[in-house]
Amino acid sequence: MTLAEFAHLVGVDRKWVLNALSALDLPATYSLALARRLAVTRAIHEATGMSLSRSFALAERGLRAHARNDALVVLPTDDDSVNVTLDIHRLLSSFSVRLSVLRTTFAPRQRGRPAGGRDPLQVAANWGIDLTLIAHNFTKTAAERVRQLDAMAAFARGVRRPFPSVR
Amino acid sequence: MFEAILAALAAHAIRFVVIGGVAATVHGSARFTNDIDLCYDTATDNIERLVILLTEWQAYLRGVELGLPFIMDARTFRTTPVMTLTTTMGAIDLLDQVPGVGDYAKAFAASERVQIGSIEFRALTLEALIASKQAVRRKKDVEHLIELEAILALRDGKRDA
Repeated sequence: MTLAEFAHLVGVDRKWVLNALSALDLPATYSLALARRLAVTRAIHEATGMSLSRSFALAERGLRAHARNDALVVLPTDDDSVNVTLDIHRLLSSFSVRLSVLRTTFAPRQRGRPAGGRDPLQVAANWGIDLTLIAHNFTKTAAERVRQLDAMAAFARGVRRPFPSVR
Repeated sequence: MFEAILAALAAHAIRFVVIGGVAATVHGSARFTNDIDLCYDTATDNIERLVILLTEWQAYLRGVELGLPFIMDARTFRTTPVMTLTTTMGAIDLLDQVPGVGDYAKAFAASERVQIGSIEFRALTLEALIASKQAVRRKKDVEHLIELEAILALRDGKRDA
């Protein structure tokens, strides 16, 4: 996992990750488990103003409680003076959403422009785009184009074999 | 699939603008896509209707293991700007902002009316689609961008294909 992907999972920018890892004295090893824990850490830290290291410790306790099927976790702070209530299931739900985006659409931004000059049709042709297909689409109405796409999607669904590990 | 999704969204009076691959198809793109990308109005009433429909369609997160924590409700919509979902109707990506364009109101202003049979919906204009691809610029967007710019050139009659 790259730093950008890791930061996306935690729901922060890259600088926050680097600062947090430095403050927590952790190596820059970008794992799913650490991203999950840091996401919870950040929520605690931002909501309570508690230090990162204490939030990090509470996050670990919260995640352990969630693993025991507690959706809402009440954690006493070290001196037992304050209880922190974590809606850990919801925090992890947001994390799952970011994980889904990471695995489906997330990708780094590309730099520069594709080679081929300023003529968009020449650039497209150089890229291997069949312009006759586009010209043919121009002979159809928008509704016909969407229905054609629908038919292609139905065909793709029909021929695709189920892939058990992905829903 | 797309037509049925659009029909159901319209029937539930959900305010949205079609963006991404399906909007590109509306403008003449020859690329295949099997998901529909929508920018939705974040007003409470709209999100509540969207949640009802997505729950009916058994929406779950795409690309992740079954059984992970996931709450489909209005609060989730408020805290997550992008959701990539799989549903009984097909894959649906939901965004509260279109990169390079803005929120629903701006996307609506940069959209045009499309009619398929009795279904009426809004799709991002070709110019706005190009702006969104330029803003995101992932590897796959670069190729889309090249095609969209060619479509714009062809549409504006700068040259014959």
